Amino acid sequence: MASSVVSELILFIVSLLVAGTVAGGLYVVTQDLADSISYKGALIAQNLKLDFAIINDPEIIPTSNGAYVFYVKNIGYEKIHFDTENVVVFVDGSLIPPSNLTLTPSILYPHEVGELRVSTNLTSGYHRIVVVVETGEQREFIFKVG
Amino acid sequence: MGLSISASFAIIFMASIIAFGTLYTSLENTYNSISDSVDSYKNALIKRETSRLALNSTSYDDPGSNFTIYTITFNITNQGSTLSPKYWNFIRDGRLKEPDDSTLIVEDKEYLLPGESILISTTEIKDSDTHTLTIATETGCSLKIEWEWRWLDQNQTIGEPVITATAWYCT
Repeated sequence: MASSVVSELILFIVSLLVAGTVAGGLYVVTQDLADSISYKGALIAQNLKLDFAIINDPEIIPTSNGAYVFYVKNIGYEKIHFDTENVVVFVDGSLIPPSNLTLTPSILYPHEVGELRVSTNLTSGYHRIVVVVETGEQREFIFKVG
Repeated sequence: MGLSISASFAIIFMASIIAFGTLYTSLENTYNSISDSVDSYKNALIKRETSRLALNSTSYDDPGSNFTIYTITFNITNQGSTLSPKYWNFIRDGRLKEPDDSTLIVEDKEYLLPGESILISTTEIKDSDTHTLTIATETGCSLKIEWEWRWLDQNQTIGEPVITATAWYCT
């Protein structure tokens, strides 16, 4: 009789432990899934609200200390991190190293215009610059030199 | 045995409800956030697609043959949806220029409703170069105006600015 109670008790405790483990696992997995959904959702939402344009006169790209100056305007609803760690620039398909880029200011708030200075040698004729920001959003601008 | 099954089921059932609640809250928040962003994106896209500025007319002020400068005024008409001139930027001869109430004067208007016009004046030198003014709106679309000073007599005492090109484009 006593052994039956003990075995029932053991069975009860084990079943509680198993159920608790399953519940804990479910909680962890669910929380992880919820966090991932929130994170990805926030990224998508930010990406949709982020927009920018290169507003130069395509026929006259000004230069300053040998660098071509491009004006990048934030036309979205989100701020853009405007520094060499978050912005990648290609000219005619070639990656411009961060050391050849100067960006001001470091954060572009909506409606603000930033200066992107690109130190590179360009021949007379048409060229293409591609600016990629932190979210992967990119803009292409075709311009003429000379 | 029966009590064990009931207790285990109760624990797993409660955990399932909590998990469902957590997931539902997360999904709802994400849906709302993305939905807001999609609305913003759609509005921005519609505004961009329906915005359009056009050069309606120009006038100029030539202080006389003794002066080497003149002022040209552009009458810009909004042929699209409502725009906010306070968010515009101006690029004159390739360089970004802020309105300074002197060499670049922009009529003070908070909004430019469809059909409304705005006056933009700029001072330039009477040279033979082609000059440009690019008006970049808040939608990312721009109106570019090109003009040059042309002498009307050989002595170069009388002249006038002539518009050589205009373009509306989005980048």
